[in-house]
Amino acid sequence: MMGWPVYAWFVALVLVPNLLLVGASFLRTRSGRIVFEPTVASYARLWDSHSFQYLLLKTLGTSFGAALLGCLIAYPMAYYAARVVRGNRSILVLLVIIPLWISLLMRVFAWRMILGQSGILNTFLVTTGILAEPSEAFLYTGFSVLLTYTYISIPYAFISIFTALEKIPHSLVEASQDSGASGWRTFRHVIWPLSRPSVAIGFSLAFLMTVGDYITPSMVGGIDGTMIGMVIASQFGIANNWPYGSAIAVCLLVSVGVVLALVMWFGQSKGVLTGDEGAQPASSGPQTQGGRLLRMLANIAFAIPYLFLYAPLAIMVLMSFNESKVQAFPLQGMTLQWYRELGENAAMLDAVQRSLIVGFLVVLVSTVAAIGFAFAIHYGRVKQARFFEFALAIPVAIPGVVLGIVMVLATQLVQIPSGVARIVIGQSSFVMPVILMIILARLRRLDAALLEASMDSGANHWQSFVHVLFPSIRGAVIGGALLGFTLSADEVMVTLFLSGTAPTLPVWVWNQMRFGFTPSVNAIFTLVGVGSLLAIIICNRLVFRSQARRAEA
Amino acid sequence: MTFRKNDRAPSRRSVMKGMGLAAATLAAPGVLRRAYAQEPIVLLTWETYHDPAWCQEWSEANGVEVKPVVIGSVDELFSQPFSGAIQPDVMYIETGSLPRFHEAGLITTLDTSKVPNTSNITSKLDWKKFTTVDGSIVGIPYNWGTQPLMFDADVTKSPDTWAVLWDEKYEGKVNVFDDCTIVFPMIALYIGAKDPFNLTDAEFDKCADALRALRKQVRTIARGFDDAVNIYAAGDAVIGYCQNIAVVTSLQDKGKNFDYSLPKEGTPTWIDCTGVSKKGDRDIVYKFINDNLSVKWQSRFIEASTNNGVLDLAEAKEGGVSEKTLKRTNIPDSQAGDFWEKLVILQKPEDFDRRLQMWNDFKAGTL
Amino acid sequence: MEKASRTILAVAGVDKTFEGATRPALDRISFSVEPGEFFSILGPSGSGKTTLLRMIAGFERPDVGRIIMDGEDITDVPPFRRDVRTVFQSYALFPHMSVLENVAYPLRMAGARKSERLAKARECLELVSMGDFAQRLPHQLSGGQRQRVALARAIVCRPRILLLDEPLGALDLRLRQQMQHMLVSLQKDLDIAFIYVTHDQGEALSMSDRVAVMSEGRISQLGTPREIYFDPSSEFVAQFVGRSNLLPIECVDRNGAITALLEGKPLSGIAAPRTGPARMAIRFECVRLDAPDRPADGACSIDGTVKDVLFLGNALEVNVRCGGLNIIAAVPAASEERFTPGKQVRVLFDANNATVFHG
Repeated sequence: MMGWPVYAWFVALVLVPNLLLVGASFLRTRSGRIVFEPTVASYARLWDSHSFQYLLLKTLGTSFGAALLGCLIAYPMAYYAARVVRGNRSILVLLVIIPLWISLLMRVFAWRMILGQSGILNTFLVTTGILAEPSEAFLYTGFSVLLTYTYISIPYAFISIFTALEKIPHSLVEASQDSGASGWRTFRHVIWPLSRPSVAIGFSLAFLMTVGDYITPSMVGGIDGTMIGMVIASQFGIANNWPYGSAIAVCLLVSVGVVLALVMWFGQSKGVLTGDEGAQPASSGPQTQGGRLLRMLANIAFAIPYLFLYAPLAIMVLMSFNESKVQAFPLQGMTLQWYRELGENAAMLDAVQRSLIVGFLVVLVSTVAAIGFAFAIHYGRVKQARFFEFALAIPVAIPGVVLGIVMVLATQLVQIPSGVARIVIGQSSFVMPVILMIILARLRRLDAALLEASMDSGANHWQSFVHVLFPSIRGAVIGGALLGFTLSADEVMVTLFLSGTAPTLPVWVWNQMRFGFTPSVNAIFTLVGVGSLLAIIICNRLVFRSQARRAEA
Repeated sequence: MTFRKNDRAPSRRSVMKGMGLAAATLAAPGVLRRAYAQEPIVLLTWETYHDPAWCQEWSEANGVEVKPVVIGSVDELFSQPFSGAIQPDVMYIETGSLPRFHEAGLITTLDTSKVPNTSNITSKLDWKKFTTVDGSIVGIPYNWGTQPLMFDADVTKSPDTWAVLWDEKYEGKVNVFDDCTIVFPMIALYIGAKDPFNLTDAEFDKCADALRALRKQVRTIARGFDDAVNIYAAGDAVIGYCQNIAVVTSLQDKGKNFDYSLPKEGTPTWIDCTGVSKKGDRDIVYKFINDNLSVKWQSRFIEASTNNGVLDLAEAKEGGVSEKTLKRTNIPDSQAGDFWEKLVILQKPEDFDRRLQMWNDFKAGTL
Repeated sequence: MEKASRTILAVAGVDKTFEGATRPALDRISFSVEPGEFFSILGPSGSGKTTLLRMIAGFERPDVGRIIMDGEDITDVPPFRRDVRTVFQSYALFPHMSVLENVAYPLRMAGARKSERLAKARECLELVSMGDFAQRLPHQLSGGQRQRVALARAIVCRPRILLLDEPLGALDLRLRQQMQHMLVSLQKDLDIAFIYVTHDQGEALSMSDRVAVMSEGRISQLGTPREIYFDPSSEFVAQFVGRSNLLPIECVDRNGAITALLEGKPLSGIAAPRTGPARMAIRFECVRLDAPDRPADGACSIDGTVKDVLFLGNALEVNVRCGGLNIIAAVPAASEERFTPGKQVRVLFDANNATVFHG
């Protein structure tokens, strides 16, 4: 439990790569090669570029709006799941997370089929007579980008808000009611201020997930969906002007930092939550007719966001049985061909296998590091712990394109060959901080006397960790690892640069989407989705059964 | 407490065991992969160019592994080798970008004498003119293609000018490809530039006007071959600048009545050339390139991709390309003498940065 | 109507069974509270006292029965419309509000202007001697301080009824005693009816006007502390309230009169309603010890040997072995008599201090 691994990680995966980026932004390029002549030319060019400023604002604005909408939708959902529903709450949470296991590309792609000219939405509106002819307003507009960004935002906002709401002791709500506050005013003066910091975190996560994403807007946004990420990518790509690209990336980073700082400032709340954890009301009175109706309506309202989350997945499942190779409506007929082809598609199976290996290694490396770092930070082995906690999370806030390039530079510097090793390093740089945050949050809620009690009982540090501390944070570790795997399994932008000759499944899919799409991709993700659903149902059954058994005993 | 622990411990342990086993199974094939004596040949290639099965076959015959890395966009073509993410031996670059790759030192000059199969390249293709940089050849064609005007034949009948893309009738229904290097020459041809690769300032201004007007017409830009097919198939576009005629044939396969025409202003045409890095300047790599130009290899490529390859009509037929496939390529048409006159082969532009900036401004809507 | 005006709160025939529970949490509970009364609900954990309190506050709904406040049925009135305030066991201070804001919160909800509510809140903080901590946040306070803030928040609106849910449970002994005095004087000053839930009989007896002892969802006994203490109506009350010896006796019919036998020895003056085995409760402090040769003077007596002695400061608890029984006597510590283990003593108690339970 020493501090040096934290410093080492920070230097290797945060400081050096970002210094390379900032350094590059002050260099000049000549005939496709970077020359080492310090200059501010790139920044001067940005200062004059109308389109850069416009795109930056548009990118920030769209992501901001989507994160806001995501929070607006996720908040009531989380509230309902955390404070109204009794029992089996974990399944509601998992149902929100499952869609994250299906490649984002696939989900975004499905949105295209819902929103397009001959898509489901238009077909529905025309056949029901609401619209005279298919509208062009749904796809390839700013609206479609906002919609899909919102779609991406919801799970992240939900998870963060849910954990906060679940933690608020019920006695505070009662104390407020007892003080004469109605439900709404209790919410305004007690629940909202107490959950606001987590809303800010959820908002920030959602914002970060979308602000650097240029694949989504390029797929559903049409020409109006052009975002700053595409410009960055083109500077590192076809323009081959790395200094200029780095300068844009640096500006984006700074702007994102400013937005996040503002959000965090807004979200801060005084005081420390102490006392019992989210005790639920023992029961409500006998249900009246009106109450039952209200409850039903609430249940329906609660289900709508889930429909929103699962609609694209349903499309994907549908397409996996569609005979035509073209991913568009109308469907051509039923077939199981794509499932049969799964086994024959060696390249895809390779990619699946690689994705699993990468995911496993990333989670392993990140979780082990995160546990160690969390303890080092929490138990004061790291100087300036607050700073490092924040600094380690910087890669999370770097748009994928930039992080990809930056990690290539860093790994190139130390001669790590492209492939699984590079991907694992690159992905760990942003997966580890996420797990770290989750574990730290849990550690801070832990009774400080726990470690002392264990050492008092004669256990050394290591034994205390194994027997006392780890069991008490196990939930957070598993949750973090799960989220880490989700992030790793779905990563495209960073991996694209690091994979070299060895694509992971999402990268392979990304190439497929543009050239020679095979519906077998639908089939494999359908299997992934069904598999994870089954796993969760079975786990739930087992847990439920063992709980029941324990209750009997 | 004790009995509860006993109740749960075995299941947890067995889960761990299971995970370990799964990890081992996953890792095994990677370890057991066949080892080759020589350093592998890494290709930075496009979808459909190098089927894994063909590479496998060649690898086994020659004892050197071939690793094709498929890229999806011109951006990746640049960023992957420049960043060092991939260190390819062979990459496939269109003629207009060859000088930039050469300048940056990513590709070296080629010794064509080591590639006797260049004789298989159709005589109609005056390739040396476009692959010569500073007096030496830096690329050998692998494939070529036209980028014509494509349209929904139910909506319009054989338009013969790029101007239809600016026709208000098709507002919101026009599609172009998201690639500055290929769209800009088309714009230049439309405004009647004398040399579409050497624009004057006045011509640049005209291009800017044309792009501004085009923006209202275009709702979405395609990011790739399949993307384009899907956009047209879903009815989100009815007319557009075609990246590859395989888009049209693919749509025809789906029962969509799409067609293409070569406008009178000229049709931009690309030639994808094999370029070799310093690392790839090895005899075995030359052998690979040479084999890639064999009639057998090329025919198989044409048949599978419905691209043009580099063969002459007679060679293609001899190599076993079916009539059906041939009809879908430009190969039969290219026999006609005046065909090539309608084409404008991509060359290095006068100021790439300026074009890209305009293109990015066009996309952002701030031009 | 006149009677109603004398009762600030009436709980009438309330039943409550929680979902999935086999036993009712509350079973036919009825009682009433006078204005300005200090009313305690005393019982072990799980006896339903907190449920009862939450029902009065409005957080639970009775399955059957009504809750009437000042003549008005409030059974269906939501908690925030009831003129009832609660001091929560966990204090439930809002962690994001300063002490002052916490105390001002009910006034804010009542729509008071800012200057007014801050002034009132300050005043109220002074009342519980927390005036110096107005700007602190709850997590910066000690347990006793939090407790006083919670109290201030509950009384700032001068409710007619104040509910206290084991408010002193988490405090140390000295603080608890201080707070007891403070609560009693506050209650007198404010003239608010206190309903005080506790499992500590000392608190209940020392502060209350009346005490309801609860057991398994029912009220076992309702009366003044004195009645509860000296005249427990059941074995449960006798054992739960105060410290009693519970001695097995045998009631036999002798010459037409029922006589109680302890260890086969008749006890004079003990009245038993019927024959058969029974138990007799006698409080520790009602047991005297004397030298074995002293006369009983009409009191019940039994001889024994001192087993052990606990020194409690103001008293000694002497455990005496009498045949097969242990009898504990609390005697003044200042007494000149020295009790050492092994010493022969005579145990004496008056018949009117003993209560006999059959069952």
